Order: sequence, then structure tokens, then C-alpha cells
Amino acid sequence: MTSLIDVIFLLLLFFMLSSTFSRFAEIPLGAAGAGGSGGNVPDIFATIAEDGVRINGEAAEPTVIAERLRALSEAGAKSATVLAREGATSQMLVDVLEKFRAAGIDVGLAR
Amino acid sequence: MSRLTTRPMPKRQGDSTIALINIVFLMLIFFLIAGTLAPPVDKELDPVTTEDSLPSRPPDALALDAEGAFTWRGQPISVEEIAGAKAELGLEGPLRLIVDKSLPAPLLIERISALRAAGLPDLVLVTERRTEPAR
Repeated sequence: MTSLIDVIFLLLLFFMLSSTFSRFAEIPLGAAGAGGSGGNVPDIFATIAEDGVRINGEAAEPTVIAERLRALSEAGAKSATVLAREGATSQMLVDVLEKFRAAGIDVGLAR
Repeated sequence: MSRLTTRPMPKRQGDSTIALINIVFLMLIFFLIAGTLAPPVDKELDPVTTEDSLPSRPPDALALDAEGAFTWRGQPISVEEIAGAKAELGLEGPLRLIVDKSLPAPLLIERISALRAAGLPDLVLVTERRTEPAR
């Protein structure tokens, strides 16, 4: 009896310590050349800086980005280039990439 | 007479052990089902969060910390070694990358092109999913 509880207790301890409860998601970053291909001109050009996001040169509040991208997508925009300036964090970049993906627009990253 | 009075004692002890085993067993089942086992990523890393991307399995991923340094399963690694380490572990498919949220974005883009230059063109960014959208 004691050996059984010992084993179960050890198993419990192992699973308690080694399992994770955070949930993960993934964003494909696209194949090589999607960002660097200089051939065709993108339909949308967005820049991300410390003070916010600009889409085609127009400042866009975080709350209206999704709406504006949907409008641009309906108007026929298919591809976009995103340029991250100094001061932008990865979190800001990924938030914007996610919104582009939700609107169905191909995104390339500019250097 | 005295034997009669001491008899219930060992029986009660057995009962409490079974109750304890039951509780511990239920906890074990809970952790087995609710938790997911995954190799550890960098403990210091605070990954980028997203709200509505595709759910994915826990990362066995290359970590990129806030200073732009790569770690693989807790060990620092250089860009040249990554392709070899991935092949050695027999990981198929795209390279999974988990990034600290405070890493400057230009540095992230630079690291991504460094990885592509090192022969790893297929990259997937793993993020932590916020369960409740903050709206």
C-alpha cells in the first residue's frame, strides 16, 4: 500500500513540475524572399515606430488598423510591406502582422 | 476482550490511506490531462502574445531573448550551429522561433534574415495565446 502511494506521489510530482499550462499560437513568417524581393511594388506600405503605426503614410490608431486593412483588402490590396523603425518592439510588429494576416494580405518584412 | 477493542484501529488506518491515494490519484489524472509536457524554452523569456492566431502545440523552439541572442533548450547557440542542432534532434518541418516581446523589431528582422541566410528559410513564429482578449 505504501509503495503504491509512493509511486503515485512521484508521478504526480513529475507531472506537476514538468507540465505547462500556457497556450501557444503560431504565425508563419513566410518563405524566403517574401520580404526581400524587390521586383513588384506592394499595394500597402506600413511603418511601425515607437509612436504608432502608419499605413500608407497615414497614422492609424491600434483600434482602427483592422478596419482599415479590411477596407484596403476589399479595395483590392493583396500584398504589403512592413517596415519596423527604431523603437518598435517585437510585440508591436507581431500585433500588426497578425492583423494583416486576418485581413488576408500577404506581408513582407522590409529591412 | 482487549483484542476486541484494538481490532478497529488498523482497519481505520487502511481507510485513510485509500482516501489519500484517491485524492493524489485524482490530482495525477488532472495534471496528466490539463497540462502538456514540453521541453523547456528559456525561463527568462517573456514571449510575444497574440489573440487570434492559429493554436499550436507547445514550442520545442529556438528562443530569441530581448538582447537578440539565440538559445536552444536553455543553451546559448550561434546562428551557424542552429541548422545542425535541428537536424541532430530530427525535427521536421519549419523552424519554430519564440521571441521576447521587448526585442526591438529591427533586430528581430535582422535575426530572421540571418537565419534565412544560414539555410533555414522556413520559419514559424510561436506566440503565447491570451485566453481572454483584452478589450
